[in-house]
Amino acid sequence: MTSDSGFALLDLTHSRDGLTATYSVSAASRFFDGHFVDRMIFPGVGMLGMVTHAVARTPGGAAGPVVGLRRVKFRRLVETPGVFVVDLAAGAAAEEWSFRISLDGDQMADGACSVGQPETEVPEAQDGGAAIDLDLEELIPHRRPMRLVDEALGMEVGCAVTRSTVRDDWPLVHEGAVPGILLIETIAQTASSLIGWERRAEETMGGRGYLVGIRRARLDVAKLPVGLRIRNRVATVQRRGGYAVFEGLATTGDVVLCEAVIQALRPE
Amino acid sequence: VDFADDDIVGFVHKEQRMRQDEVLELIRQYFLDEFEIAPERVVPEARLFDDLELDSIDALDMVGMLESKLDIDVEESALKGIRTVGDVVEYILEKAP
Repeated sequence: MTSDSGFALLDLTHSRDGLTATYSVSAASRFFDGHFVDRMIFPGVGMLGMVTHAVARTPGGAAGPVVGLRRVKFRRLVETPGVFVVDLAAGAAAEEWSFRISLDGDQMADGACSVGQPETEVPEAQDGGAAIDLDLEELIPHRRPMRLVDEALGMEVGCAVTRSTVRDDWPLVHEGAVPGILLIETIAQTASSLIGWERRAEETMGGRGYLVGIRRARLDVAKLPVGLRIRNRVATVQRRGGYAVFEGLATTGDVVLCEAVIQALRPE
Repeated sequence: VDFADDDIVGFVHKEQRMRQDEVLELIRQYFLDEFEIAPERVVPEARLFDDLELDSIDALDMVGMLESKLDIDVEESALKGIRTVGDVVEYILEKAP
């Protein structure tokens, strides 16, 4: 993996019940490129990418890739390149890991993940459906290559549907595919589209929401091949002031790729 | 039924205790499911942020759960006064139908 695809592994140290992995993120990281249009923020999914990379290098990593996430919290915005430390500790079950991610000594994120065999092999199905006339770049601050949602398929109060096509300029691309964990970002960007659309309708544009957590997620696929078309659907399940919780579902054809409940916060 | 005054007071207190126990049980189960906090730590005097180590997002999630599960509206102004598990129980007993 080259550093410009996302991050580079610097060091890996095994301990009795886990491991510590150190990654460098440069200003040239693809995660920074277009995330966002006016302000550089390293996305939470970039840190989750480090977790999936590290978990695959644990003794239990042979059990498979990350298939579940639980109680993930992104505690601070990452606005600069730097050296991240991912600490993994074995959970109660053999296939569970808790993780903590720090940057220059500050805790940035933590949570738990599980590994296993995903439900679905590398999918081949393509997702059709007509796009609606809506410019997503008017609604969200993400820009290519980090704008992972291409077009809107539907938008109404409390619900949005978008389409993504996996491109070879997505982060973490390797041998013609990207890790399934990037579906968290396609779902998050779909939620961002919904927030932007609703705020435009309410004529309350301004402010920006950030992904602050993942209550739970299930990943049914390990890799997404370049060219795969993905349908992302999100629905609002809770909203209070600038805080909102969304249920998200990513599919291709009739095949479920990922289900997630994500949390976003727009500082008042 | 002809209750003596003391009996009525005792009966009402018993009813309140039952409701309090039910609400506390609901909160304990939620904290166990969502935050993996052992039920024995979820006592009325436990402070949400200091003792149970919740953060502001956890608190908003808890409010969302209470609103959807108990069909109540939690006012913004009330949130500032809720500091302990006991405060949550008391608020629910006031608001829940």
